[in-house]
Amino acid sequence: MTVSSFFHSLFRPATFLRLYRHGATPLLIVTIALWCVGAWMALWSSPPDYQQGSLVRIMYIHVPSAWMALLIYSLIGGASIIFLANRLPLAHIFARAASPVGAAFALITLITGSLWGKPTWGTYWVWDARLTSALILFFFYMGHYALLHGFASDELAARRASWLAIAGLINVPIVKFSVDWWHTLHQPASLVPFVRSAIHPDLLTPLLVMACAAASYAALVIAWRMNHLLTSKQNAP
Amino acid sequence: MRPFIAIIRHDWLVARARGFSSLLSLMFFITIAALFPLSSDLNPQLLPKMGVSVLWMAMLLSLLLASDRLFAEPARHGTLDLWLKADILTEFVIVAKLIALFVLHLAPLLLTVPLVALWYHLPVPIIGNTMAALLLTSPTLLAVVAFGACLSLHARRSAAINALITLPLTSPLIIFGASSSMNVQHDGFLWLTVLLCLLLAPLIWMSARILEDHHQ
Repeated sequence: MTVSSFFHSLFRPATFLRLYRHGATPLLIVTIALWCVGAWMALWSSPPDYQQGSLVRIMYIHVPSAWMALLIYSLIGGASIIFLANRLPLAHIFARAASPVGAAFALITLITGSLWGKPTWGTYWVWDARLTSALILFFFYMGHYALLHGFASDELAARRASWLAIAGLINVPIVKFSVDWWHTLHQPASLVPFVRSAIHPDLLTPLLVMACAAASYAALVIAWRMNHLLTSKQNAP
Repeated sequence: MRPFIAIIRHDWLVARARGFSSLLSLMFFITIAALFPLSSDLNPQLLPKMGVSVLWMAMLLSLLLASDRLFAEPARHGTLDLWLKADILTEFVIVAKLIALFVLHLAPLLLTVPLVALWYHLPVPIIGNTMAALLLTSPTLLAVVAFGACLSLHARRSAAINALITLPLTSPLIIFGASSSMNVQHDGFLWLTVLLCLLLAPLIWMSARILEDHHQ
């Protein structure tokens, strides 16, 4: 079995649509449940930080959004490579569906970060390495969107947008490691896999629930959009 | 080698036949550089501080203006199809176009930098640094510009899309280029060299694939 035919069997639109028919409603219920639990924990049950007070609650939306913005961009980049290498329509459908969702998460990250920065750092914006690279991530999302909708031919648009998404992958490690490479202002990651967390469990649990809620919400909206792109008449492959 | 020279020669001849109207983007550069002090409070202490940033941004914008026609014009005239069918790697078609763009646009611009620097009372070492940094950045910058021009080729609002995708990609070059010009960071030139080595080949390779994709 070649790599190409493996991908083709894995990424069949029919497989996605069958999965969607069975999975969409449970996913919706899980998303609503996670949001309710997460919001209750983040807003009421978790204690305020000893320094930041209730301001720390912005973190529960800021950090999951940032993770999702980066994750979705990486997935779009990966899907774009698969699309260009194997001409799989579903890979492009995913990139097309995910692009505005990731852009929205990137924008939420920037806005909540600014609102948190004003009382904490004393400014809405600094040209720190993390903030700048996150802003550029948002610009890449905008460029991707512009290319997706900028051509008379949808097929040409798909390939051009894929190339930009691949070029933008270089920004992903820069966003991720900017806090370690340049010690400017934004604090380094407090949560590293397989290392004891620097966050107290009382604050960590709501953060992780909110992260799951954000991931589940993203998966749901992307699946909705993919289903729409696959089934609506004008976009039928 | 012959098609490679022929493409550069073609661009030169086309520019000459039009009375070097490519120099209009140079005038654009000079105009932006003149309007910045006028839009500030003309404080002589402030001017040297903003001079380097203005030179870099004005250079970038005028390059963007010049790059809009980089592949769109040969595509409209059909010459691009001929180049892609010629006995030459597409990568070299792009490199030839970029050399022509450098000669017709960036080199004259570099020569006007000392003149424009006078408006900003820039000290001589900074002028030297700026020109060196511009020269060192130009291959990478031109490759980014080619990538943007290829991506936006045949787009509906190609100029706007070109700007939207090219400008963010130039940000590392602007950061290290301007900081080496102002000598705030001693390893700025080192970083520009690293970026040159890392980005030049992949960008030109990707641009070549994009051009071939549309014209196969």
